[in-house]
Amino acid sequence: MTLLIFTIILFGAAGALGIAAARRGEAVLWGGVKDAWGQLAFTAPRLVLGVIGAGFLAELLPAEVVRALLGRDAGLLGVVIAAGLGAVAPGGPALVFAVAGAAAAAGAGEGQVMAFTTAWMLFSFNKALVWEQPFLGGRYTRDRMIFAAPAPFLVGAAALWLFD
Amino acid sequence: MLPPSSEREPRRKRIDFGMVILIFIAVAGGLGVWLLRGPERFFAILGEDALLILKIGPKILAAMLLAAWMRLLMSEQAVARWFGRGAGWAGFARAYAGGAILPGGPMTAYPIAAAFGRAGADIGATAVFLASWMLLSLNRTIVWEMAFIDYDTVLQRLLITLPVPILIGLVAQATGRPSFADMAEGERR
Repeated sequence: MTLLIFTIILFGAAGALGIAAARRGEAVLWGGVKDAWGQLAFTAPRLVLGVIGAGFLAELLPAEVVRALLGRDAGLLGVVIAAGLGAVAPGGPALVFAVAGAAAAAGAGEGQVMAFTTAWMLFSFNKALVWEQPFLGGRYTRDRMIFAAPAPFLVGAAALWLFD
Repeated sequence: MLPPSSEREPRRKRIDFGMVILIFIAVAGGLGVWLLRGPERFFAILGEDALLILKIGPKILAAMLLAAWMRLLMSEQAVARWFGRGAGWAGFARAYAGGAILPGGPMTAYPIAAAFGRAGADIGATAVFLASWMLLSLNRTIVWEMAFIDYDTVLQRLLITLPVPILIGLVAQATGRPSFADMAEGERR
């Protein structure tokens, strides 16, 4: 239900902007389509590989090891490990969410999964080096990261505490 | 009007490090499943994967079109002026909403964050915008997170992280960092 609502919003917003683009002229309408096509050429292979890799990974990940290190019972230590892994995880959303989903399927706890994804959202090297540092400067990036540093641990700990 | 993302810096590589890892995981994983679990299991997993791809595909297409048209229809300055306007809590609220609902990946968010400074937004609001985009981006949540992680976990994650951008903004405002002077270093690149 939640996903359905979000999906309708997504398609509705895309349709509305498409109409707005068409009113602005054919160049804008087709310029957007061409631009999106270029983005898709970048994303589609990553999506397909991410899904396939995650499927295989979930099957192969040793459940006992995942549960011991990242399971619910691994508690705060598990959150710390997960946040550390998330902070150094390379690549974009296809890779990170695919791996997180595979880990969850193999027995990782919710709080640990959240710590992993949150750490990636805030600290992804990819994002920091390719985008944040060039656009906002090295010092800005550093200060922003220092302020954000506690967040993945707090989110993971809160999840353990709230949803256990 | 902004030039399309394909003509803007920094250019992304078709095959980057993340891609190499994705290829490695898929090939090594496939080989492992074939050898350890047998071809039957291998093809069963591929079948599940195909269904998942069919499920996510149209959403990704919609998200890409949405972001592309938005980039063409709105200037960074206009977006930054609108979402970066207002001081105090009102400014925080706009920046917070802007970060969560703006579609598109980093190629949309960072130019806008950089434009916040030029548009006269305050330091706290700019920090709120970036943190909100990083943690709450609806686009990324719908397209990617919900595709791979079960919805209850995603919703719980969103609920728990709701206050985080505000906290980061308050710290930024209290300390005066990271400052726009630091940001200018990036713009001089």
